Amino acid sequence: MYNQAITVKPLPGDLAMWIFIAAELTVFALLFLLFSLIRLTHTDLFLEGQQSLHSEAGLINTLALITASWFAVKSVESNRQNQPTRAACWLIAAILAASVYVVVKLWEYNQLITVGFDLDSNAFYTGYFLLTGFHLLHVLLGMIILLFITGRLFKKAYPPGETTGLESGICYWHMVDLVWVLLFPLIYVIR
Amino acid sequence: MKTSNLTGFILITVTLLSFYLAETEMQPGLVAIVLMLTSLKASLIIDGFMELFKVSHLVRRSLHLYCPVLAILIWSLLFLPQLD
Repeated sequence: MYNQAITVKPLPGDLAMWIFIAAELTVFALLFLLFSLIRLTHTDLFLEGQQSLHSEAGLINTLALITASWFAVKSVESNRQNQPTRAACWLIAAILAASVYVVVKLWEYNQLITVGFDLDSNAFYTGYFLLTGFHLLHVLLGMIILLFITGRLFKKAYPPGETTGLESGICYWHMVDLVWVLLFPLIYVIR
Repeated sequence: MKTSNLTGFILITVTLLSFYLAETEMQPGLVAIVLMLTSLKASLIIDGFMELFKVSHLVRRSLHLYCPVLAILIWSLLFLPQLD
C-alpha cells in the first residue's frame, strides 16, 4: 500500500457565493447564445454594427479588468501574509483599474449615442447594449463589494481563518472578469 | 515568478494576441483559435485567480467546462449553418 499524502484544498469563499456565481454565469451563457443566434439571422447588420465599435476600447477594457483581478489576487496574498493594510491598498488599486473600465465603457456608449445608435436602433445594438450594460451593472456591483472589503481590511476584519468573506467577494470579482473574457471576442473580435 | 504574476502576464499576452487576430479577416478556423484562446484565459482565471487549482469540487469542474462548452456552441451557431 502506498502511503501518499494527498493535498486537497478546500473551496475558497462561501458555497452560497459559488451558487450565486453559477446562477449569474448561466444567465450570461443564455445571453451569449441569444446574441450568437440573432447574429446568425442578421449577419450583415452585425458586421456593420461591429465596425462602428472601437475595438481599442474593448482591448483597454479587457486589460483594465485583468489588471483589476490581478491586483485583487495580490490583495488576498497580502492578507494571507498578515498585511491587511497592504491588502487594502491592493484593493484600492483594483478599484482604480476597474474605474478605467467604467469610464471607457461610458465613453463608448456616449460615442454611439451621439452618432444616433441606441437600444432600439437594430438587433445588433439591442444585443450590444443589453449584454454590455448588464455586464457593466455587475462591474459596478463588484466595485461596491471591493470597496466594502477594503473598508473591512483597514479595520483588520479578516484575520487568518476568518477570510471567507474576503475570498467570496474576490471570487465574485473574478466572475465579472471571466464573463468579460467571453464577451470581448464575441463583440469585438469575431467578425 | 509568483503564480499570480505569471497568470496575469499570460492573460495580458493572450489578450493582445486575440486583438492582433481581430485585425485579420475571420475565417472559421481563426474563430476556433480565438475561442480556444478564450477558453485558455478562462482556465487561467479559474485556477490562477480564483485559486481553484487542486480544489477537488464540482464547482471547479463546472467552471472549467463553462467556457469550452460555450465556445463550441457559439462556433457551431455561427458556422455550422454555413457549412450546409
